[in-house]
Amino acid sequence: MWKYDKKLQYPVNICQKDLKMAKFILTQFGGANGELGACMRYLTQRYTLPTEKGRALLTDIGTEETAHKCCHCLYKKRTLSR
Amino acid sequence: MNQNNSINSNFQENVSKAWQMQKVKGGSNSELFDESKAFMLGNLFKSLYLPYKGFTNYPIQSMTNRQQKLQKLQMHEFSAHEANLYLDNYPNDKEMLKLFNNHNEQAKIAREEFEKEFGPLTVSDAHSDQKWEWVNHPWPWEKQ
Repeated sequence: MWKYDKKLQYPVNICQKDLKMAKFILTQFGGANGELGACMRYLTQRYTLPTEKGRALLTDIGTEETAHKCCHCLYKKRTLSR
Repeated sequence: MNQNNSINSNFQENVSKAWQMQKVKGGSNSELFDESKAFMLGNLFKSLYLPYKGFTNYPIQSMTNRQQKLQKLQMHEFSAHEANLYLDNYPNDKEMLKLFNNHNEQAKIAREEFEKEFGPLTVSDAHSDQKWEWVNHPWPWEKQ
């Protein structure tokens, strides 16, 4: 169902290694309020939504949350190295 | 904490204001940022934009030709995406449909221009008969 682009939605330029930040970013990945949970929640709730608009919106924003996980990996990688 | 609360309630108010405006006008919000400002601020809708605690955004500067071409694509795609999410809720808004179609078209052109020079952005655009270009650097998480 999904395709991906080999590009970011917004340019990112991290020049400095920052372990504290990397640790903080990691806390937003999993857990009850993390991106991982959000994306799975939207993408499973959409099946039982009663309206067409709602199903479209949840699919769109669920996809967006999935993309946020990629952001996490990127920020984590950049703040951990260099 | 107090500041947070007021920011929060302010935001709620603006969202509901935008919502009300929709109902009254039955059309799209005429108060929209242009594509470059929307991209910079991360929001297409003026009435829904809330600056983060005195943080000021700055224009994104592209240093290389690659960054410049990519940014043009990102800009139009962002506005198209904002319109997309809006249209999910207001599918009959003609003005917003026009805006979506326009940015979508511009994004297509920008994508072609970028790909001609720097290689495919999606696997379905990889059509070289010399070499499989999809494996080439840089990936989005790598410095470019």
